[in-house]
Amino acid sequence: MDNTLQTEKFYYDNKIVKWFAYATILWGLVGMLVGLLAALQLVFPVLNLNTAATSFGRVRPVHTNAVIFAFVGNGIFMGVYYSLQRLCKARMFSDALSKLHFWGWQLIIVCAAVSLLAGYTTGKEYAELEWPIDILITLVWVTFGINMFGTIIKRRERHLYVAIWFYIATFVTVAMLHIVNSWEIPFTWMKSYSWYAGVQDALVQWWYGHNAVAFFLTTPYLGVMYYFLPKIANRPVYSYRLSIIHFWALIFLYIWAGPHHLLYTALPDWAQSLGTVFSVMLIAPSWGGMLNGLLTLRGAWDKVREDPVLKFIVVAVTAYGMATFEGPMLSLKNVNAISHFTDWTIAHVHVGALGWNGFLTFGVLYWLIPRIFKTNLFSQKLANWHFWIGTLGIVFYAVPMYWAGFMQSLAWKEFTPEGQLKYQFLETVTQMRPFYMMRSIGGTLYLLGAIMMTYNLIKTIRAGKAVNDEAAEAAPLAKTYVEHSGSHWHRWIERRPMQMMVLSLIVVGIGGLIEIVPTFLVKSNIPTISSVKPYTPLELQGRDIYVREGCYTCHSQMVRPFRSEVARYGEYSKAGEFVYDHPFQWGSKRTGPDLARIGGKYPNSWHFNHMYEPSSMSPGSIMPSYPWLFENDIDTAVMGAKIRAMQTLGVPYPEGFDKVANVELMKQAESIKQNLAGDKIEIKSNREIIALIAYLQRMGTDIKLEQKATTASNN
Amino acid sequence: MRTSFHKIILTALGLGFPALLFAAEQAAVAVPAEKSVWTSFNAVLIGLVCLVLILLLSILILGNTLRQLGFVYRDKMRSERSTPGAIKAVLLLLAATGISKMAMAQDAAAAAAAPAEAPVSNFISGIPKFDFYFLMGAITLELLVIITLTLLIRTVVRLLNAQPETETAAATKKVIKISFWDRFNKVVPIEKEQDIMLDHDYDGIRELDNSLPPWWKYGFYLTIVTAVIYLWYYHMGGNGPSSYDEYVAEVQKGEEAKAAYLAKSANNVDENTVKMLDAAGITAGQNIFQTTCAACHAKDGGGGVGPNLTDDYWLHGGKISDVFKSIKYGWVDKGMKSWKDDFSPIQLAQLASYVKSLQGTKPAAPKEKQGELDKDGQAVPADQGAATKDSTIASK
Repeated sequence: MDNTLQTEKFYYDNKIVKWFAYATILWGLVGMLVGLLAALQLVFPVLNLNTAATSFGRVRPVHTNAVIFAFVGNGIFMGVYYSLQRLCKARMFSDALSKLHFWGWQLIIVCAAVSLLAGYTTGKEYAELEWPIDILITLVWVTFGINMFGTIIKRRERHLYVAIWFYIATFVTVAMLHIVNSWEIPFTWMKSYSWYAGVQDALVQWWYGHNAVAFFLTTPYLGVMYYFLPKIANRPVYSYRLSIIHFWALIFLYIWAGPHHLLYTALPDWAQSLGTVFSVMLIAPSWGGMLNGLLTLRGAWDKVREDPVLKFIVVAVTAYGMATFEGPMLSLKNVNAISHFTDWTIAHVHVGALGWNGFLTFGVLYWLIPRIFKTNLFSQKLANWHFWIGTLGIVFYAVPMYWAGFMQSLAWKEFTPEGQLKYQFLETVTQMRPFYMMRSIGGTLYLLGAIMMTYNLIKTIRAGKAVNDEAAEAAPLAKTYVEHSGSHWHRWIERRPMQMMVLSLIVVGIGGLIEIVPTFLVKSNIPTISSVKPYTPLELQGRDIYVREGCYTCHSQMVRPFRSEVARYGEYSKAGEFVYDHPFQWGSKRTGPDLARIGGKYPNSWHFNHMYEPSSMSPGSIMPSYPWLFENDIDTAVMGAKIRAMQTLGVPYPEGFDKVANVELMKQAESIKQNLAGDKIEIKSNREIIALIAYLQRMGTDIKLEQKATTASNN
Repeated sequence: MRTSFHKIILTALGLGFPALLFAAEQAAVAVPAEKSVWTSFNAVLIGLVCLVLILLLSILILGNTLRQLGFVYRDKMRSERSTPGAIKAVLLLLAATGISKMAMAQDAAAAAAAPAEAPVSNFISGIPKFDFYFLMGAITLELLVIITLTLLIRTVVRLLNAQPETETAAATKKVIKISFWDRFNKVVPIEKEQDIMLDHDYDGIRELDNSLPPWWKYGFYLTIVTAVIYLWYYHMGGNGPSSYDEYVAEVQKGEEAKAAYLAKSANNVDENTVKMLDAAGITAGQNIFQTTCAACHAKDGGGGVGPNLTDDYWLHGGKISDVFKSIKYGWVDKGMKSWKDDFSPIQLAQLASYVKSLQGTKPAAPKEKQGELDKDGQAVPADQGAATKDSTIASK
């Protein structure tokens, strides 16, 4: 339209895209390999290798963080850096910032892997990284933001294409989620406590966790899809109107749905219901993305049959559709009562992760690499094989997990006619092993496909020569813009990136505010229980060990109000029981039994033997052994700092308690030592296992004290 | 085409028959395995059998696809005069059908052989070892067949594609297919696409301005209406049950069912009526003891984390009713958990009987004496008073 202006010559930065592509491939392989290890550990506990860094509780967070933030994260940046330049008709704002962004992100990943394996974790799922890394993430993310907006501002294209709307929403929302959820109080240079406690911490965490799925795994990838799918298929996008409606509806509704991770927990019912209804309303906006993708392929299905790249993308978009239909179904309370805490959830997330994120990444890589290297893909045939093996891998992964989830749930809930629980928890664990084995086979196939892709791409790269700076030309924007008459109202905001960012922030801010603020301010949401007291110093140390070893990856601390759970674990959990839990440890998966009421259930000696060799107390258990807890000393040097941090957070320890905390600690440790000696067990009182036993024996017992008190007064 | 339709159905039946036989055999295998470990059902076994059947079904489908492709190919070759390629394809097809039939015959034969081997004492997830490996073998075999068939189908499709259908036939097909889809989604047909093409071009990407698919739009409205009704029903005067209400109702229903069952059941044993059981009862108790109690009390009852159960010294009374009570309610302060929610009254009685039957046996590593001498409840333990007090709390 601005034909009068002379065109300018400039170069797209392909080098940074290439780097992000390499990082995507590398971390993808690493993340999947670690996932395979974790999967096999559940079949063969011996693979935990009896060392701290290789035990499941530490490996699993490495897997989740690696595939989400390293594999998909780099995938996002690869897609954004390639498409943004072309959609803005401009080189990235600053090469230096691009480099800083790239190396900063890789540094975060390395720090994350090392610190997680070393046991530094906040204990909040998908936000496990400790405070120095959190700060680093914020800085790098802001770098990315500046670079992105800088590019948008110097664009040569008046209007922002739908892909960029998604990138902008991703940028602001992830920043908001990360900063709010990672709000924590450091007490050493690598350890902190979550600012929030119990129910509030749970709500903030799942507001974050759910929207990490929404705004890290979904919206940026939708943006990537909106660029690459029409480009590769050479077809116009199906419907501009659909793009507008599904974009705004998606980002507005998604943010509310977090509480569906907390159905039937101690979270107030009203918040749970909001989680349910907003998840149900999400079906259409999510499917809007799928429809716009699949219907764009009208008239191009003959290409899909031939081209492995399009095959990957079609399966990715279909998997997205399946996962986003299943998600709302899992958010219905009656379905969630069956699915939650079981392997069903694992199946669900892997349909999304392996199908949507994985396959879209593969498709983009197969298309992008030959383009950057000005050559053809080394082998279409190999890519086709990758497609089929990967698809088979997904099926072999998901089907056994769905089956396992059903079995677990049915077995956990089944009563005999006499009113007894039919199955011991352990029976349901040993029954899972064949399914975990089949899942591992599925995972192996998927990884095999990724390795084939790596080989194929390396061969392609070798055959070509990288065009690091790709020449392009376009006319600059005219100083003034005359709007066409009759153009769509939405065009207004497409010309204004800053307003777009602010509006996105407002739209995503509403849901969080309405759910989180009342939970913090309205007292009736968390009724006080007078017998619930702060942890003793020894118990606090034990709790920190519980967090460090990632016990929450397999054990929940949340007895839901179901007959079967009350019969199995004891009184259902109340909101007031968790007011001193920084962070909360409700967990999201029961590979092992719930521990909310473990306190007092077994003698100290049982826990001692069980932690040393789980199968000695529970034959057939797949839990790792924790021999290092019997050699490491409790870190009493930081006790004072921990107490002071807790006091800052409002935990009512008496004034000056930080000075005497270690005395109290040793007293309690000594009594546990004596008790163990009664069972002929010799152990020094300053070993970590003593602290862990103290914590385990405390868990869920406060409420029993209150019940005893009330029965006594009634008598 | 119509004449060959009958043929296809007949073939499908013919191919399907062995599959049915096979399923029946599998069911026969399933029964003994089930009984030995799981009282009601063994989901792993059912899962594996279903997998075998599903794979078998896919073999059937693939096999038939291959046959049909074969007919198409043969017809085409006839019309285009036979070539060496056609002979090759027909040979391939023959081989494929042969393979799938052979595989199924093998499966069925092996399945028939399986029951004879069933009473092997070794189990893998509740399935006799032989059956387990057999099923795994069957699955592997089926997977191999599926891969072979897939490869063959691919080859034949390639051969077919080498001589595509005439242009006009393909075109008419396309039009018919799309028109329903277009109406369903309210799509502007591809031919008229230019009318709704927007004037923008983003790096070569154009956008159409199709309407929202009606089913999508009304579906969206429907979810919004559902959400409003849901919130009204549960939180704004609709009297929907809270999580707590649901819990109370569930427990009440469970308790009623339990009471109804126990009222007409001989299983209703408690600490007042429990008696020493016969040898069968003791054996049943022993089985539970070995899996559940041995971790703390040792396999021979000699004690470990928990006290020695073979001597005449008892912490909480040695009468069968005392032992029953100890198991039922536990001594939580001392580390003995309550088992009343894990085992039925009759199972508790079996356990108590087994424990009593251990008295006087010689365990390998007996733990030292604990508690008071109580030879079958003759002597009065010193802490009788305390014990009664505790048990009243426990039994409240």
